[in-house]
Amino acid sequence: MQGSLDRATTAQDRQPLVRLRGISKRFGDVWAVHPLDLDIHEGEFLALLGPSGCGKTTLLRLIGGFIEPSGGHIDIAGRDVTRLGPERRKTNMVFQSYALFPHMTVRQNIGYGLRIAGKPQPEIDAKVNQLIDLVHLGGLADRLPKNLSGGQQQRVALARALAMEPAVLLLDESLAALDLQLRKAMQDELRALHRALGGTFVFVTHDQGEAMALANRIVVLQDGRIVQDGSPHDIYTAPTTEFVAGFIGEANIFEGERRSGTVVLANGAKFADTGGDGRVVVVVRPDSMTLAAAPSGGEASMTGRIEDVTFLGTHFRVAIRLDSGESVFSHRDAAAPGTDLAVGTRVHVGWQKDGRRVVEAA
Amino acid sequence: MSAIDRRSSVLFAPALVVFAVFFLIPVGFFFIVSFWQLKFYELVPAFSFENYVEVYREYLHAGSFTFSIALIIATLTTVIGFLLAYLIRFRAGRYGPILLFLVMITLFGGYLVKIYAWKTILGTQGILNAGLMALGIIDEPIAWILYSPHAVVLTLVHFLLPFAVLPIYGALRGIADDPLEAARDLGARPFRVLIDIVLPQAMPGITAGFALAFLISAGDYVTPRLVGGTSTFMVGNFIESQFVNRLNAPVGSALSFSVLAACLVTLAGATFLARRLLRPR
Amino acid sequence: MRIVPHTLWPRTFWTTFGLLSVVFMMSPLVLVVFFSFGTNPQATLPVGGLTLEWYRVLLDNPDFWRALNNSLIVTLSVGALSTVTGTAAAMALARWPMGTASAAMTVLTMPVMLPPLVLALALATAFSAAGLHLSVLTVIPSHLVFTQPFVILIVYAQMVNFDHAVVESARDLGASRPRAFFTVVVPIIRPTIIGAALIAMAISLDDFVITFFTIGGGMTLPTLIWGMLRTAIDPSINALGTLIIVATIGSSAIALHLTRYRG
Repeated sequence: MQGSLDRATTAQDRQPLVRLRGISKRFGDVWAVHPLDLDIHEGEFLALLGPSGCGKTTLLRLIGGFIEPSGGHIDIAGRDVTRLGPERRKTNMVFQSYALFPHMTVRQNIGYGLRIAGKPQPEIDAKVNQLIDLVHLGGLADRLPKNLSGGQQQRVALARALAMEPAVLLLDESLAALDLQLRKAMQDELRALHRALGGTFVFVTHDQGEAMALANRIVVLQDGRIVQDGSPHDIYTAPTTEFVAGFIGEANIFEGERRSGTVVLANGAKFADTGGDGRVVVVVRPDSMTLAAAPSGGEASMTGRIEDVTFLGTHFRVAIRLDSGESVFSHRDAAAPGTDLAVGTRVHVGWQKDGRRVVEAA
Repeated sequence: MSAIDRRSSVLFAPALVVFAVFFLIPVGFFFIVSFWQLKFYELVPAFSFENYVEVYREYLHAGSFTFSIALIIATLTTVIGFLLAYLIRFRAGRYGPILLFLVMITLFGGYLVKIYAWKTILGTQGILNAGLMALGIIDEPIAWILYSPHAVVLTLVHFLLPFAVLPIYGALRGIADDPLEAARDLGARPFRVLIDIVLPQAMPGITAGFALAFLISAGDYVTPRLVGGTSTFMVGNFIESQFVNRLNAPVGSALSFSVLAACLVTLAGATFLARRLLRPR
Repeated sequence: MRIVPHTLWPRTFWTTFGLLSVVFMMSPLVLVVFFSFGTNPQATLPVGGLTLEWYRVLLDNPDFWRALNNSLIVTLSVGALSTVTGTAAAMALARWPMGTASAAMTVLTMPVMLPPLVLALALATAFSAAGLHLSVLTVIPSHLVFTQPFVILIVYAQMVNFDHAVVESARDLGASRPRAFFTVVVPIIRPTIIGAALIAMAISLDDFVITFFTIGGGMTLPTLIWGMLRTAIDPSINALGTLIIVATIGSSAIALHLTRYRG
């Protein structure tokens, strides 16, 4: 069955650039990565997203060749590289710690891989100068890493990897050490680089905001397994599990049960939804959570009292304590809140049918 | 970080006084003595290079012999020391701390006791010969090991090994793992990583270990006396005999400082060369 | 399989090398201890039966007690003095800028780098020029000058990582400067200081060359060994060697444990 699926995919799509089949990694008794399949296509900007310990960094290091898999095999550009070390793969990594060579200048760091590859010096110089311009390090070429700021070191690490013109650029939580403002700037730059250079970027992050901002495809990992794989929009609007819903963006989550086409929530609300019987959770994003003084005629309606209001510039974040005791959040447009937002006000909250998603409970 | 304030100067003073009174002044005076003359067993202040001329005339041969032995010892010690430090830092895993502990322990245990132990091991009746004969590798004891330059080299390498391992390990411990992986990611094979990334960063430790091994073996006289036999006379033995047998401090001093100067020049040259070879391009 | 993963032959090499190194480093010391309990006086194989005879011979030797007495005087004085001068200097250095501190340490470490014979002769010449009578009292400062660098290096390594906020918070809570030092700083760095003192003592106890030239007519344990080595074979040398090994390695093992000093 695995084989037939395989053929079906390749028939439809182009040949994947990176193809993982049954890849797994076990450290002692612990499975860091359970056997999994993953195809990465040319030109993708892919995020491996998940909480710490979910196996995302292990997966990235398996692709880069820094660790050997416990099972399965990896093809890159149609060639089996499972047993090859990192020096023999057309992948290059931007390390979380940057991993710059402390005794080499910026120029020497960036040119190191080209020198190993035996490129002639004039070619190395030209390439290094070009990269120094590309990542805006002009004037710093002869400094040692210790005399650079975190953001500058980050750029050197990036340029050093890009110098190799990798088939796949791997980034391991590379922005995590930067402060917020710098991180935003680097995100913009990475996106611009990806646009300008094309190529395939794979990055690891635990920050869903960063994944959303950068990637055109997100693979969510949990406990060493892929739990969802899709575009940022799909992952946000159509999470397939409670975990994904809770991990990506803010979500109101209601527990309930579906019986013969009707979902009954723990707090008593009910609505129609087709699907098998069993325990389910209903996911409603705060911006889809309606808030009104009177029942608004949505799919579900509950009552509660406004407990807290935070002004966040473009919108208010309203915390409501439902009469059933649960706490829910609703985002109201700052320009048109639509109702009185005074703390203590009694309100009706609910959602429209297209504003919620029902997923099987974990 | 505050600048040097009065309180810290007071705290630093005792150590500095000890250093000045029992190192700077004696060694400085000893240097001056190398220009003095000995007349009827009395030191006479003078300013003459006669002692150095005598050193050059009489001890050049012993000097160059000592020098080559010290270079061999220092090189062997540094190479084995580097391998051992590398093993502890990168290869030994959970055995690393145990190995390191053994190395630090052998820093002590008695200088003379160690020399004596090698004397008993290497003798014709010693463990080494007995063992080799029991294994059938040799038929009769090897007589040329003890009382030869080989024994001096072996004994001093053993004595100096922990002095080389510890500074080199200290330098290796300061090398982060990520840049090593980064180098491999950029195409470097393990040997290339060693040359390009590990060695340049380990240089301060390697230099310290080599210098210590070189200086101590060039100045040693006890080891050649006890295990070197009659053919292995090193400069240390001549320096010692100038004092003990001839009571001639000026020549002994001139000999000491000649050896020291030659050692320092060699060390400076070796360091310069190593830096050049390992300089990143 | 396309390429052999680089595991097999390097692993064999490193295992062999590691084992050989341990044998090389340890065997001389182990053999001395081993022979000290054997009846064969030649220190050759076979060892013969088990005996404490050589320890009895050693303990009956009046020179041993004289040497032990002098060694104890020197070692304990040097341990105490170098701990005081070294710790004080390390405290000062920890407050200095990094570059100045490391330059100062390089200078103070010079006595360790000089061949011991040269330092010994320089001291002996200077002492006699100053008209000082050579004795145990001239040995003590001669040891001090090359043991204090070890104390400085060990204590400094701890002090540069010391969190000075704890001193500030003690003073904030009303402690005077000395009181804060003795109630907060000393308890925290006590193991390091004890460890440094033990290392200094091990080095002092082990020294032969400098002692030999600065003690005049007296003797310490190493000079006693020197005497034994130069006379006919005396099997009690193994017993004495064992005592020195146990004393220096024992104290340094405790010291390493206390200071968690790792190279």
